[in-house]
Amino acid sequence: MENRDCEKVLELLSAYIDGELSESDAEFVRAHLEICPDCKKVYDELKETENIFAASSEDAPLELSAAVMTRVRAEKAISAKRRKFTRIFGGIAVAAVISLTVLASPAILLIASGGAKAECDDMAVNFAPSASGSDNFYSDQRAETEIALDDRLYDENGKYDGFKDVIESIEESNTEQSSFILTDGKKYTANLADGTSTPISFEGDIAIFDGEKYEYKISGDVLYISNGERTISFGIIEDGKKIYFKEIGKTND
Amino acid sequence: MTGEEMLVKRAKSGDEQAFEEIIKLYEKAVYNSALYIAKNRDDALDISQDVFLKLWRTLPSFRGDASLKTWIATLTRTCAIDYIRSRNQKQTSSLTDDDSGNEVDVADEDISSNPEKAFEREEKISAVRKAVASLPEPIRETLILREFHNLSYTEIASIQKISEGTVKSRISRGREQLKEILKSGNFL
Repeated sequence: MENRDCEKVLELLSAYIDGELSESDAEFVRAHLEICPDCKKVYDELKETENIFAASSEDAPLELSAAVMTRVRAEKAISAKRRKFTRIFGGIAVAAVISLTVLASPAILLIASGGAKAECDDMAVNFAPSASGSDNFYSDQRAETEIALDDRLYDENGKYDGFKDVIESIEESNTEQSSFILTDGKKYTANLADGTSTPISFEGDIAIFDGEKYEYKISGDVLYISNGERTISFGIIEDGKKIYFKEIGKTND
Repeated sequence: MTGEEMLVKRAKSGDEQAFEEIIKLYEKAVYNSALYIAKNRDDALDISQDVFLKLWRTLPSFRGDASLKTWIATLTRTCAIDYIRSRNQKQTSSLTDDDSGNEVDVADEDISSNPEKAFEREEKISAVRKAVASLPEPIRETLILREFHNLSYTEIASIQKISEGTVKSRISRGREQLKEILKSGNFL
């Protein structure tokens, strides 16, 4: 009988040390340890093992919190810039993230309206290492996303019918067509641009870009895609019937 | 509202001082978890920074469904996994070897006050570190969550997506293995 008790107690010892047993089991172990020197010896060894393990921890380096706070402040500064960027782009409509073409030609970058471009560049600069204080930030202006808009995005006069609000969600998207819900509740569909090479498509909550899966979010006039290793943000540039998503920053998370 | 909940509330509203206090509360747990995984102080520092940066970024969406302690432990686990993945890809080091000059096993404490005792302590710590490193990864991870983050079996089960029975079994087996290794080295 005692051997059976020992067997049970040895199974419970670790949880007993952690205070994870029910009151009745804990009482059973406690009572047994008082009368069984063999189990008490195992218990003492486990406790000592636990003590040595606990003693192996060391204080965090003093510079840890300071380094984190430096980066936190840098991110706050970037967020402030982003808000400014969003305000400036506030009236610009966002339509579709259909296809991303890596363009070598800087001419495309210049299609954007003048004021917007200046802010976009300003934004890019503020993702640079020197401004952010972090090596993880850099600017890469080579990539752009070319957006083609469905006719329904225009009013009867052929004018841009005004995405006065931002995109609320991307309802569905594939390599041919994407549907978007705006914060005003309207749904829009955009067709793919022809001749695209590197598409972004959306499957539910997942964006697929360059063969990799990303989570995505649209905040104001910025699209963020993140796969846990990197986050790429795209600012929005509008030019008549086309909208370009210009890469404005990338962070290695 | 607890003091910690107040801190979280303040930090969520952008209060840097509150966030720094949160770091101070959890930095030891995070750093030591990272240290056991990375086996290198420089890397552990990097991982720890990433954990707290991620915490800062995710705080606005932190609703308090789980405890902050659990959330931080989850972030630590995620960052550590990313770190290992990245390190394996780079193939610049291994879990058992480290040539960076800042190895965990180096006894760099001031041992002048009681050199014999300090040496003995360092030997024990070194032994337990090696023993922990030799454990199968799932068991090591569970033990670290228990030891450094002081999580309950329920919380660990939730983070690792395993049953509480598995948590209990892993911790028990892990401790038993550590005990045997320490015994064989005459540290018990």
